Amino acid sequence: MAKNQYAMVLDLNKCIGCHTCTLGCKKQWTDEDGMTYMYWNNVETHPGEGYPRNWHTTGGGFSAKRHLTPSPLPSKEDYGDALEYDYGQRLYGGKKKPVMPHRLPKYGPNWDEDVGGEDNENPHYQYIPRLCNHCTHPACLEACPRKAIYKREEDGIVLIDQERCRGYRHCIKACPYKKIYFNEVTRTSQKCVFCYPRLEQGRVNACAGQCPGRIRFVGLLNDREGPVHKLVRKHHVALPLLPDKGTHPNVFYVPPINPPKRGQPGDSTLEDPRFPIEYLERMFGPEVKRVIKLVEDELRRAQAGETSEVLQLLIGRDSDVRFRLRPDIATEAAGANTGGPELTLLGTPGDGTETAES
Amino acid sequence: MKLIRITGAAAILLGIICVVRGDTTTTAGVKPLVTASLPAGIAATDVANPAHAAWEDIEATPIHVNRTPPLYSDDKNDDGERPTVTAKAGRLADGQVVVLIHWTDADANIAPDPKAYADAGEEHVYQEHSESVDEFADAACAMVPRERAPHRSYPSIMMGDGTDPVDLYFWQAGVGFAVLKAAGMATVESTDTDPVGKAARDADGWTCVMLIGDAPPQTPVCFGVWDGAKEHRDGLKFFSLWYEVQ
Repeated sequence: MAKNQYAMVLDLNKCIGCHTCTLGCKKQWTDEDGMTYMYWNNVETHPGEGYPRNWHTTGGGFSAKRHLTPSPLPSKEDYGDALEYDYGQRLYGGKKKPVMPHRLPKYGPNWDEDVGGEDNENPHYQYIPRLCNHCTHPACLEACPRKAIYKREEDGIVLIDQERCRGYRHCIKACPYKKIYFNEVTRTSQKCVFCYPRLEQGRVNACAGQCPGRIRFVGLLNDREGPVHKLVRKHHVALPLLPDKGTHPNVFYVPPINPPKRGQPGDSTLEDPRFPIEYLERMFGPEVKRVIKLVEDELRRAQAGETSEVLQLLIGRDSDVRFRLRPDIATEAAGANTGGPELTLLGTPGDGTETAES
Repeated sequence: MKLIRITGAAAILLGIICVVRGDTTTTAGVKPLVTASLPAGIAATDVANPAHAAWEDIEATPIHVNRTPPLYSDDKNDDGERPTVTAKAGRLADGQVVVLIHWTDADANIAPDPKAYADAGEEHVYQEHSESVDEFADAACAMVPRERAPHRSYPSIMMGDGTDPVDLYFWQAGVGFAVLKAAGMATVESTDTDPVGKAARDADGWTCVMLIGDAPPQTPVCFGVWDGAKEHRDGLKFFSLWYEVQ
């Protein structure tokens, strides 16, 4: 078990679907050969098929008896073509051709943006940014026969040793989030590294640092003074994605609190939801209604002039509210006393040893 | 945990097979791999060509293969099909041994050579891409104990042991040859040894020639064959038990 666990909270109420996080990640990490189709971070519209297509219904993770339940490998068609555009010819070559993708696209990482769903003449959609969840019980790690995947003891970040990996892709089948990609050039599997080289320098993850909506909170799950601990363990307003997959993700989401379709201001969205609660429950588990009610109650408290730590956190105007990094934990894990805030050893959610406060 | 259980079951199954056949814990009853002396003056690089005339005069030894158990519940079920595998061995004048493996495989599954987007018009600015994300390549391997000598007992068929490590002469369609080493499951590592070998495709399947280095008579050798169409990779493959070069 990791001594510390870096984690992230994403407030879906603030995501505007601008993909700045995706581009920040893409330029930082996946701009090399064989990585064209890789999006270690992407933003999806839900209801929607996602990237790769139907990742959320295809399988992966663990069964109730803790057996791996691998899915089929996503096919090339499930990722779609990584398109290139003939900008050079159009802008510099004097060819005067229209800017066109070099192939007819049939699917892609942002294929059904803003399409969403419709029920009873109620169109609705929600953005969900996604990245590797750096799970407490990573199915990818358990599936790898090469032991090429490891979880760093000092910060819980899950990495793939590119020297050991031989591209068998059991990890891709095991990951319920399909956030591992096969690189045909290096013939290895690759994934989000939670920007660990940046964190070690005290710089926040590229996706979080670039986010114009300031939706992302980064810190150690076991740092009681950090925003992630407060949102997840103290106030319980952030939920993991597909918790039924049994991997205990360490990326958490504040579910969307849309205003009710009809009724008076102040009515609960639970009474007349704009976005189907059932869909949110499929994505974030049975705690969704409790969290929505809790955040609505906090809103009412704030509207009544009272102080709400939850809302102050979620507004997160300043980066020192959203991010609390500990670049010293590597040396601390090795036994040095750095004088930083006291940390509590991590427990496993649900096993009775977690550091929950109420 | 399940992997460990399945691996354990596989080890027990293999153990039963081996005890029944009596050819991994003891050398009794081991089948010989017919090995012919090659004429002086022939180099390894000459007979690496599967079409070299020297191979025509060497008797082919039938290699019995079975399939490893699936690692995971969703691995493709064993359809009962087995490739027909034969092997020939030739001893060079300097004592080194070259093996030729032929196996049937209806479909050639070749790892593609990643290419830039040539059809995008400006090849030099576009990066190499990944398109065979759910495809696996055909492959073959000859496994030989690091200790090149007659063995009273053999290394584990599953990548050798810590006390009896193995060398692996590996070929993968579209990727090429490599000399690897291992001392048990999940311990395979690259080496600096330059591989010598060639592979060729015919109507029935593949022929693959590999130099396996020094191998005095009665040195054990076994073979593995991967069928990419069946999503074979790592431990999921057709494998033989031990044979002995002559």
